[in-house]
Amino acid sequence: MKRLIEKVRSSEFLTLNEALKVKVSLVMIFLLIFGMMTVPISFFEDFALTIKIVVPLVFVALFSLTFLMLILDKSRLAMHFSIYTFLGLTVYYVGGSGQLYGYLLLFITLTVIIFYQDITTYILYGGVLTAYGLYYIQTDENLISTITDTIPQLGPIIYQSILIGFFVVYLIHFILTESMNEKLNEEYLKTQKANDIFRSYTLRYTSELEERDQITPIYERADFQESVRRISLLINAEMDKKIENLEEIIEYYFFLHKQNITSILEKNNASPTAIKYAEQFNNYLINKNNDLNTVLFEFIGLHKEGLKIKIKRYNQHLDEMFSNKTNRILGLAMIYKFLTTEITQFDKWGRVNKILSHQEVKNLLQSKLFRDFISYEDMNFFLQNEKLFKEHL
Amino acid sequence: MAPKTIGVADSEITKQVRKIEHDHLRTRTLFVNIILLLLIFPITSVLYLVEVALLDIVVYFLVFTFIIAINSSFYIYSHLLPNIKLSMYITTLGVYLLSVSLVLDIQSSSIFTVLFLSYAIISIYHDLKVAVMNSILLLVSGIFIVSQFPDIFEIAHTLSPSALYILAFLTIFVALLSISSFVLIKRKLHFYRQVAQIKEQEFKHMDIFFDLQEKYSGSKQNVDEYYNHLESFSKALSKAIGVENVFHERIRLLRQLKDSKEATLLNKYPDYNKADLEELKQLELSIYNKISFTALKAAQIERIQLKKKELLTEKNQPSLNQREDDLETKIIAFAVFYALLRIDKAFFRALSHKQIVKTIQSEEVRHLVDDKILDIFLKNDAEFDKATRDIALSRVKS
Repeated sequence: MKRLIEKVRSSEFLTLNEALKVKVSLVMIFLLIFGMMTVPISFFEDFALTIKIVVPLVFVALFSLTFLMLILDKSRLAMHFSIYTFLGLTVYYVGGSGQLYGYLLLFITLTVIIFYQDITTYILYGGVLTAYGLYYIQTDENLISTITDTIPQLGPIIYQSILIGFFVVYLIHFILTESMNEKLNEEYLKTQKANDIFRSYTLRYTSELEERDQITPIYERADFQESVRRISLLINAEMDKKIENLEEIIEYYFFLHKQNITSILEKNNASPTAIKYAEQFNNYLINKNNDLNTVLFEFIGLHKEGLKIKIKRYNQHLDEMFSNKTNRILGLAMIYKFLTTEITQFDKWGRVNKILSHQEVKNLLQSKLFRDFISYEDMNFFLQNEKLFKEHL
Repeated sequence: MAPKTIGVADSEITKQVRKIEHDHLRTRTLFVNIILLLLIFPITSVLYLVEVALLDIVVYFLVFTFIIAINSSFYIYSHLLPNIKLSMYITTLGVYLLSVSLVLDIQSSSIFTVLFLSYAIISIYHDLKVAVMNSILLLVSGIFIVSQFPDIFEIAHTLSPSALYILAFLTIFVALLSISSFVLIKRKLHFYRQVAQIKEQEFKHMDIFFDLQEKYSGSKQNVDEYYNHLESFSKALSKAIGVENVFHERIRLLRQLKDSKEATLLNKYPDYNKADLEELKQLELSIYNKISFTALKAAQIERIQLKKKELLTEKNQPSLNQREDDLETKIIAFAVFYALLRIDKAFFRALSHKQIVKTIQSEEVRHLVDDKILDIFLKNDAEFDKATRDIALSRVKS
């Protein structure tokens, strides 16, 4: 329980699957409390004895199945089973004599579905449940003759309207959140990809520099390897469960730096242990653009100043960066000058050595993708004055 | 306490997170307003049908109008009324006031669930403080109605639902949705922060690239050449269009931005104000260099386009703590990581042990390392320092 609360508290760091697992666990706790609170009441309901016995049994079976799925790490299936359990309880109570419970249970079950924050699940199960609720209200005579309603038909209409309203409002909520997140996610992924490219340029430059200046790569330096060995052994000594052959594994890790990992993975005679470590270490080799270097760059990035500009810091479109045409033209000219002067790409030999030609820059400026930086108006300005750009910049 | 973020850009990240939040909140305010607008007619009609006094109906109408007007003002005049959260709080209180009044006026079990609808409308805001307010208001309103007006829940020919059970339903409803909101809002804020952070990381990545390029080529970006070419281009352009050269003074100012103080420049160029100078800094190359960052990113535009598949699949976040890795892999990955930070690299100088200890505890780095390994590191940090002293010292020799 303590671990579950801790996980909820730090839920922002969980993956989608881990977050779903936490949600299912929470729903199961609610389900247990709810079942214990309500299932015994069913014995006082106006049902046949068979139903009175079958319902608790089905509840226990579905609950156990959900639990089993959770243990087997099938969080999505567990989610579906927990929803089925609530749906079953709702249908059961709606058929009983405590209709208000049934009606309120419609909301609780919708809430459980909302809790999972999955739009498809919500539309599917939530839609079916809402439709069922509307049908039930329409056909239940007891709900029609509410005591205090002046107009007898008004009660069910209010019940139905609020149920539809509740469903629709949460649907809007879902769509709004999804569309906002989608846009941000796209921006995030694009920037992540750009960072990946800049990192690969840097790593490539590093290896070229080492080659040119005849510097021993870090992973080949004996003092570096010794430090890694000492730190690893230090950590291992403090662990409850010690790794027996750690030094051997470290040796294999450094050995992998000069190997082609794909060929190791494809080798038929390679041992499963060698393949396993090759797969895992591929993510942490010093000379590859992988998780190790991503985290390393993030870390050292925190100790670099980056950009000194504060105003309009994150704006990259010329229209957002500048408030007048004069500055925009200067901006466009400087971008052109930069692209035709500086190295910005890999060349055909995979070296960071390519400067774009005038024609390549022209194609780039005309590309639809470049509208993230300049407007159609700016592009037309460039085309009209292309000769001046080429001759003077 | 461990720092939230290390680095000079923290305030910029926070500002950017607030900006994203503010922009989203504006859109959400618009949707809440539309829903409220759509509710006026059905609610006043029901009130009319159950024969509520006309004056009371007018009051309902006025409260609705007031909330909508407040929301609209904050939405439209966001430059004059920047604190949009204020309209959110007013709307929350107003919606609950209307809901409780409706239950008391109509006095029927059917209208009780309008409280759930209110909860749903307010949760559109997706804000932590409002989520807490929403849950408390729903619970308090529910308890008040159930305890003070139990007759409302009587339905003919059925068993009388006990107040206790209705409260239990209400509690489960609130608890589930509150946890859901808590998880969701926390994830949302973390995501906003990640979006802002990755933008900062982009600057840092480009900065590292520029530094290494300079080291590799042995020459710096020729700033004077850039300005000279810009002068020549603007002169030819002005001539071609047949207008006065309006660029000349700006380029002169750009050249002076690196050496002169802002006040001196403002005195020297009375036609320019502080905002103009700030805007021009984006074109300056010696100190600010933003335009080079923009151009370098722009050059990669074709390679950073996303495929549909990339948008739909959830990628593991890069870390030294991947779930599927064995413990020995995590140990070696961390050992290599720490040793790499302690050694001089082509693209970055070694960090001191103190700097590493401080940064590793920050919120954005801590979760990238296995908890147990991090604990061991922090408990035995002096030993780690000792183990890497040789490679750390090698930079002095080189």
